[in-house]
Amino acid sequence: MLGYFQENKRIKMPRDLRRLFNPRSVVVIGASRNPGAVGYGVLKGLHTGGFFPCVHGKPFPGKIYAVNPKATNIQGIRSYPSINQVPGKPDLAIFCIPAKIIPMVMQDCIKKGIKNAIIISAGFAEFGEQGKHLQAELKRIIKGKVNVVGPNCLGVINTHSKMNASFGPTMPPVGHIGFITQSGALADSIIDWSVTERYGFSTLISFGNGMDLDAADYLEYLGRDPKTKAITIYLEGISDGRKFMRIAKQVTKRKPVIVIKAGRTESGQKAISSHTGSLAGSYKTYEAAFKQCGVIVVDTVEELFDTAKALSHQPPCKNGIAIITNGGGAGVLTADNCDVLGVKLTEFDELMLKRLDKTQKMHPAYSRRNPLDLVGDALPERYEAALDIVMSNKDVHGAIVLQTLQTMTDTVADAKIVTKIHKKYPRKPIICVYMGGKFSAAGVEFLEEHNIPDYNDPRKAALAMKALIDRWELLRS
Amino acid sequence: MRQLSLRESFSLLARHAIPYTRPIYIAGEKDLEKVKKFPVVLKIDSEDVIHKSDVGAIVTNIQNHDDLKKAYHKILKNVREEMPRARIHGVAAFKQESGTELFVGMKRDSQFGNVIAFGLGGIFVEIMKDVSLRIAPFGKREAIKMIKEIQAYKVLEGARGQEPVKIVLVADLIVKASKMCATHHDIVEMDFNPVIANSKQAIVADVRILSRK
Repeated sequence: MLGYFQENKRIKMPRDLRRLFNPRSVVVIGASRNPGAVGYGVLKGLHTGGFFPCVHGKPFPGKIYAVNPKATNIQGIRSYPSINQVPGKPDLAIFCIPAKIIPMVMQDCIKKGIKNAIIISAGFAEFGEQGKHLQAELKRIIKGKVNVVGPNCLGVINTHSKMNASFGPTMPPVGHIGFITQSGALADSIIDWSVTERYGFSTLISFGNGMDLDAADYLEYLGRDPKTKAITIYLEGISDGRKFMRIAKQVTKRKPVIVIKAGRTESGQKAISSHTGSLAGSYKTYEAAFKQCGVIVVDTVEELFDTAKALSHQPPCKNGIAIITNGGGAGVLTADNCDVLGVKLTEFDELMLKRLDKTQKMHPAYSRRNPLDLVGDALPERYEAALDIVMSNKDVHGAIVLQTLQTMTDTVADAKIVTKIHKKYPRKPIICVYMGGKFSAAGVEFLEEHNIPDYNDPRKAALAMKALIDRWELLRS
Repeated sequence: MRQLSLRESFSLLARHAIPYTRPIYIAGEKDLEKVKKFPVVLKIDSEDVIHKSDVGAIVTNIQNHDDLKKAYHKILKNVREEMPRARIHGVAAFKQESGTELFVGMKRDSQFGNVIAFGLGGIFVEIMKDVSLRIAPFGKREAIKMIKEIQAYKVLEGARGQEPVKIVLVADLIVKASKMCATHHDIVEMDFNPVIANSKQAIVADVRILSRK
């Protein structure tokens, strides 16, 4: 009998976090009039979209309340002396008050019936013995009553529900990448970066100490979030490795999950143990655990989002692809990188070459093999004819399209061709490498607006293609 | 925390149907008669001697009774000199198996539980760190993936005229080892080193188990 109950306790129902990420009303406890204070930035982030003005920053459409005992109006938002005076029952409370008074205020919130909280304030487990006791006390208070993000975190941003519940600088572009991070500061920089690099996000979660909800809980939530198509995670350590694996195994069947794990090296690990206070196991063990449940492990932050970009927009594909280029060197580099990563190039048969010849759009010296070098003077029509014939082949499962910048190159027209062909063969991924900078920018922008991932280097494109192939193999097994 | 003795370790393996080379325990000189077939490997039977070759506590490829007797005295002398405080039960003789030397180990991790390691024996594990890891429990398919993951996998396929290793047998052994560790919670660390594998068998030739009690 006892065994039965233990078994039941172990398989817990996932927690309902929908109102935490899509609240109808939010209260900022510790809202401030001082632009240097966190409580100022958080309130500003909510009602304007971000501290820094940006096209992606959107004001929160729901109700916003502020709590500050010394003010009645902050940034035009009505402020109340305490949480008890706030009308109704806000869906979410954001804490920007000193750590030591949080347990007390939290009890008031629980009395009021508030179910979700983000604790931005630091001064808990990461802050000596005293902080550890405080966190333990708070944990007892909220247990089973409130869903808590943090403490010691940046907060949460949901671009689709237009909520910037964080002190992040602004909101990233709307998109389909979910990002869960143990480091808040890293999220700050990534938001800034995403604006120039066009990484579109659905939800960003900085979970700090992970006192209540941990990485696995957020993974489970994003796994069910219809707006999220790929999940990226920055991790320093996990408190419950088994739980993470159990959830990751389920989620990776539905969506790709990509992790960057800090603390590969001894010096990295030392920095962690004095950072978030989580137990960091050996990197190799983590790596093995991740791979075993279908999680992709990457080495750099750039790779994290580069991979996510490909996986969130392009379909997984069988191994066997084509490379199409207007520059021989770029084609060879791409072929080399594909080879190293185990991405196979489909051999072109006579029939395909005949069809290419028949179009009469090929240069007499075109390569007649994979990589298909269309020669430098390739105009959009030649790209189109070649792409169409190559993609229609049953043994070609995807393509890397390269473009080097020649005097006659029309980058935007080329980009339009690529999107057109992708529409015609939606089950075969296309990844682009428009090599260059300033004068290729318009083409790149067009591609990315149409969800064709573009990279500035052949290796990155090969890595992205490899990720799509690995995904296909994972889903098949 | 203590090392299990050779007898304890092997009886544990037997209970989980993990194949191992049968030892002939030699408590005194007259027990040497019990060895009938050659070649054999002679090792110290003492849970205190962990790195046997470092202290000269192992002699391989013994062809006859004369050499066996010499090896017996040499091993006892070496161990008594190098590790005077080691508890010695005697020595043990094993049939000399031929094949590729592999390594299967387990370590208990605070985050993930039992982590199983696999690699080629000897320098591949110690110097090259060419080891693949898996979190237990897992099935045969995962075990096969694990075997194929090491960089030296080609060696197992039989490079340079070497006898290829039957992978499924190794996978089977890995799965059994992981099950053994899952049922005995007292096992903190376990090493099968070496496991000798060829086209007909994968067999544990030496074992070290660290137990909580």
